[in-house]
Amino acid sequence: MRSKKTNILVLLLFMCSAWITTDRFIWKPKPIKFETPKGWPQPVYDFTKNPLTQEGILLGKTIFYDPQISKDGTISCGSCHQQFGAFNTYDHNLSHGLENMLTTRNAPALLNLAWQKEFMWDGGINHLDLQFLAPLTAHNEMGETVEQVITKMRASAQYRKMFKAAFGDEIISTERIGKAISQFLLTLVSNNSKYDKVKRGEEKFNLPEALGYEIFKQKCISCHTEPFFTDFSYREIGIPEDAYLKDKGRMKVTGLSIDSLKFRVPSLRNVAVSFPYGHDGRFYSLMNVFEHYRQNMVVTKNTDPSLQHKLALSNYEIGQLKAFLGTLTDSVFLQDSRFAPPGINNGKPPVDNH
Amino acid sequence: MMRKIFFISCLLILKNMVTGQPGNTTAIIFNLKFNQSPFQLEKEFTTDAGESIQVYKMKFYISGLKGINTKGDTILLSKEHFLIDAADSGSQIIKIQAPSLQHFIFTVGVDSIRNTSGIQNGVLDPAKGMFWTWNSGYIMAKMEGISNQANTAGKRFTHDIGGFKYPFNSTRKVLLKVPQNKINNRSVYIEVNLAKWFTGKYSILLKEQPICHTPSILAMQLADNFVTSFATLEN
Repeated sequence: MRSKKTNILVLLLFMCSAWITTDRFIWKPKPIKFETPKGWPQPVYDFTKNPLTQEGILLGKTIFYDPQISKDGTISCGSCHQQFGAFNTYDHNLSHGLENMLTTRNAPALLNLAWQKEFMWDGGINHLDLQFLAPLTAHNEMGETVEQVITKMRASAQYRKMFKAAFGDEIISTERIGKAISQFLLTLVSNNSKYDKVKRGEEKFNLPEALGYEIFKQKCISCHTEPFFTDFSYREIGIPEDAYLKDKGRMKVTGLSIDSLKFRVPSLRNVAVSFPYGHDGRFYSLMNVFEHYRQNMVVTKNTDPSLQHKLALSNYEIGQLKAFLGTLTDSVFLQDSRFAPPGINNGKPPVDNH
Repeated sequence: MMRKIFFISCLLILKNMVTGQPGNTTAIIFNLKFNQSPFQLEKEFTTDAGESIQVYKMKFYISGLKGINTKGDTILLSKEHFLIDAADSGSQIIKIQAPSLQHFIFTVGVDSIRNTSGIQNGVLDPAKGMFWTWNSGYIMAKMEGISNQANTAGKRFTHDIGGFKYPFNSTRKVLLKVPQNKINNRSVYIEVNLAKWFTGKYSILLKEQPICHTPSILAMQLADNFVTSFATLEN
C-alpha cells in the first residue's frame, strides 16, 4: 500500500515537472463569455480557437488605439474607426493615412463582426484575425511592416506584460496580435438600438417609425436583412465608377467581370451617425442615398436584378424611412466606455481635426 | 507491479528519445539553377528569350511531402510547410524520416485550408512577406528583381504567384523519380531550374508581363511554368 502511494506520487511529480518550470502553470486569464443576443444566429467566428479573455480584449483594445503601430506613429486603427461614428470615419468620405495620404475607400463601421465571414468592401479578407494586416501594411494607411510592429512591441515593457497576461508568456507574434485585436473587435456588438428594444417589447415605435418599418420591409429588407441589416452579399447598385479611384470593387478580388463594381451591402445599424455613405463615401447624407436609388442610379447589366428599374420612392416614403432608420442608432454602443479610447470615458467626438 | 510498469515505460520513452522515429533520415536538397549555371541572387542571367534579369527575391513554398515506396504505397512524409528561400541556404535542405522511396510527391504552394483559417505561425507567418493582406491568401512562389526589358519604374519586375480558389488555384503537384543509385537515398538532390519560370510551358516575356500580383491567368501560367523547373539529379 505504501509503495503504491509512493509510485503515484513519483508519477505525479514526473508529470508536473514539465510545467513547473514555466509560468503557464499559474497563468489564469479571466474568461469572458460571448453572449449571442436572443433571436440572433450563432456567430461564424470560431471562439474555440481564440477564447475571449479580459486580458486579451484589453490587449486588443490597446493595440487598436495605439498610433505607434503605424510607421510614423501618427495613425492607429481608432484614427479611422471612431466610436461616435459606430467605428467608421466620422464625416470623412475617404479615410486618412499617414503623411496626408488618402485611401480609396470609406472606412466601414465596425460592429457585429462575429457574424461576418469576409471583410472589406470587396470581401477580400477571409478571416477577422487577418484583417489588421491590410491597413497596417498599406502604404497609404499605416505604412508599417509586421516585423517592425513586433520589434516595437517587444521593446515595450507594457506590451510584454500584456501579452504575458493574455497568452501566458511574453512571446509577441503576428498570430497573437491578430487574435488580440479580434478579441476586442468581437466585443463590438450593437444590439441596443430603439429597434432592438421594440423587438424585445421594451419600447414602441412612434407612427412615422412604424410606417417606415413597413416600407423598409417592402423595399429594402431583401438586401439589408435583419437582424444585421445586411445579408453580407456583394451587389452593384448603379454607382458609376469614380474616374480617379477606378475602384472595380469585388472584381479586384475575384478577377471576374461579373463582379465589376460590386461592393458589400453595408449594415444599416447606426446608419444615422455613419455618414458619409457608399464605398467611396460619395453620398453626404441619407437624402443623397435616397435620391441615388430613385433617380441617379446608372443601371448596367451588372446592376442588381432588384434594382434594374431603380427603386421607386415617394417623398412620403423617404420621410418615414428616415424615421425608421433613426431607430437603428444604438446610443448605448456609441457611448459604451468599454470601447472608448484608453483614458476617455465616453464616445463623444473630440475637437474636430479635419 | 506498478514500479515495473513505471520503469519499463520510462525506458521506452528514453529509447525513443535516443533513436528517434523508425526510418532513415533523408535530406532533400533543393539545388537552384539557371539553366546550366548555379543560381545566385543579384547575379545577372539571360533568359532563353534573351532578356536580362537580376533576381533580388526568390522564394517558394513546398507542402504535402509524400513518397511512394518500393511496394507502391503512398506514405505521408511530412505535414509541414517549407519555405525555400534563395537567400537562405539552410532553407533549401529538408530533413525527413523516410524509408527507401521510388518517388517523391509534393505540392508547390500552401494547402488551401491554411489560406482560410486565420493567422498561421512559423514559415506561414504573414510577416514572412509571402501573404496577400488585401485579398487573403498566400503567395505560393515569388521572383522579384530587375530586368532591362521591364517597362516599369526602376525596371523592376514582380512575379508573385498566388491564389487558392477556382479558377485561379496556383498550387501545383510535382512527382519526381528518386534516383536508385544511392544507398537508402540519404540525400536526394532536386534541381530547380529557374530559367523555366519564363519558358516551362508558356513563353512569358518581361517586356510584356513584368508584374503579377493577383490570382489571375498570368499567375496560372507562371505556376504552370514553375512546376516544370523541378527535376531529380543523379548525383
